[in-house]
Amino acid sequence: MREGAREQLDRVMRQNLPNLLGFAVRLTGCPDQGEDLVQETMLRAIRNWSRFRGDANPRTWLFSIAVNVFRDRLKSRANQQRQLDRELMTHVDGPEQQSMAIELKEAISRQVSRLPPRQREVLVLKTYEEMSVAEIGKVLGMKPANVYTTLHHARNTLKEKLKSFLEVPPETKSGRS
Amino acid sequence: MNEHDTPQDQQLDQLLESATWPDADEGRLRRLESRWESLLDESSLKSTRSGRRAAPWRHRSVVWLAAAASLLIACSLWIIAVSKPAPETAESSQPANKSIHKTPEETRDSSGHLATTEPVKEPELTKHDYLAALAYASRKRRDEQPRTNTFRSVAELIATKIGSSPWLASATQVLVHNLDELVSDQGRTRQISRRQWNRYRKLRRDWEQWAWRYADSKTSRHQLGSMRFAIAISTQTSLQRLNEMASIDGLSHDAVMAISWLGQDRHVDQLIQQVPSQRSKRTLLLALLDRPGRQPALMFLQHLRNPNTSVLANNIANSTDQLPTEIWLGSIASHDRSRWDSALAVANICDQRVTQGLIRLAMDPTTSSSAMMALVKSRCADARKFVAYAENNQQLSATVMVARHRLQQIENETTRFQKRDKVRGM
Repeated sequence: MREGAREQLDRVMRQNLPNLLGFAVRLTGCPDQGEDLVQETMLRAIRNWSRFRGDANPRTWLFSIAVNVFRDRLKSRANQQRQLDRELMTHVDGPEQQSMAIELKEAISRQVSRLPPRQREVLVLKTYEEMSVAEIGKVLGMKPANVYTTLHHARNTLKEKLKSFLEVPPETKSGRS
Repeated sequence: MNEHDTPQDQQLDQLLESATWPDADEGRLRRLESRWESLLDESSLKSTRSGRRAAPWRHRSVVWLAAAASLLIACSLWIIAVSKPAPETAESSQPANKSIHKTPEETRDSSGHLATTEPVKEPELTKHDYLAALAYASRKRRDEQPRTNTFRSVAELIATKIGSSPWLASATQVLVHNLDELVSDQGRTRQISRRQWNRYRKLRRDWEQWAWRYADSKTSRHQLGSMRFAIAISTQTSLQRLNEMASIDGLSHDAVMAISWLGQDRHVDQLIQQVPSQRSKRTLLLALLDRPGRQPALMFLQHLRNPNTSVLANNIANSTDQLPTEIWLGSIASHDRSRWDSALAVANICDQRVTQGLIRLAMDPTTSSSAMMALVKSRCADARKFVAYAENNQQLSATVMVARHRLQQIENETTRFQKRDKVRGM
């Protein structure tokens, strides 16, 4: 890698590393897995930097690598993921937690982490990375219309799962209809 | 969010904004930053060595070219050999051997290791190269801060025994003399060392051949000297040979020292299991503890629970204040299954920072169970005091109960496995 290119990649990675880690943790629902995902993203970024076109947004490029790593891992480690989900569930619902009130905030994050992967990707990019639909489309390789649809599905799923927390006053409901 | 304007959507947005995930802490970010630096360094060194990754067609064409060239050279050599009378060849090889001080034993002994009849040139090494290369190697493998002890130990190792080459002896002397200056002048060393390191890497192969030539000789002084020289060279082949030597009486500790200083983490980890001597085990365990990064710290953690190494590892951990506490606590706080093993491993360490960290985790509902288990098992005064307090605390008593239960389960399982192994062994 040429010195100039190396410096440029270094700058891009350092600028985006905190966001990338946050994104990875939200996607995987686990800091350790998030850290692993970022490490793999770093490796792929180094390997593919020479192919990166300058006209694209480096942030979008990095996030799309992270999404690809995430998808690859889902494919190859489907069983492990299920096991981890089970473990997370037992961790949360185990007897040690019974005496403590489950935090609403954690309940929400858990439901986000349990969304189907594609819905999770779209929702996390939109809500927490505050990307535009066009940007999300670039990161995930989707058309904007599909991004909207997937986001809609994700939100509907969450509304269903979190309906006990979503109380709408009756008069507002009738006002809308 | 503008696109969603029903009250339910607004509420959902509020809920989503308030969500919290398991903490991606500062330590994690720092770890990733240092990992990034090393990855970037590795990639630069690789590209210096082999240039850009070639396309598959380019690989193939290079292979064909190399094959054609080798064939051509082989044919030429054969023609030359056939055209010259045999006695002349024997005579011409004599001075070449003399020029590198090769002993008759070495000529007889030439096994596959050296695999060359060509004279190996004594490498052109300036004191500057040597200093900078060592500085860079040490910084890469240890920490960003060069440590005086590292330099001193390497310098002493080489200086005390080598003595077989005037140029190397003088370089070593310079190294020892300039030690303090080198360490204090870190900024300058950083600037020059990358360039020097690349030169050093190019020369390494020659040096290695030269060093092992002496290692195959029968003189113990040369053997030791060249092995110590191999410490500084540290190619993969050298490490492999040093690994083999670790089991030879009289040479084992020297080889262990070499690997502990420059071997990869996994080499060090594996060797701890293999070496019979407690002294060597101790050296290697200390090396793991001394290295930066997550991997060696977690490897050490495993040795704290390994029946073959636990006593020694616990002694070391309890006698030093340079423990990788944050990494260990991170492992205990993780959602991995290994968190229970990690908790049991640190339970026997009476270190204030470890105990305080465990207490902090035990108070946090998301990480409480494994940390509480470590505290329940611990025999340290602070830990016992906290457990006594937690048992009477309304919020923490359930966690203590769960931790005790889990500990009991693990100990029962361990006993069951031990009994089964005993029966199988009989």
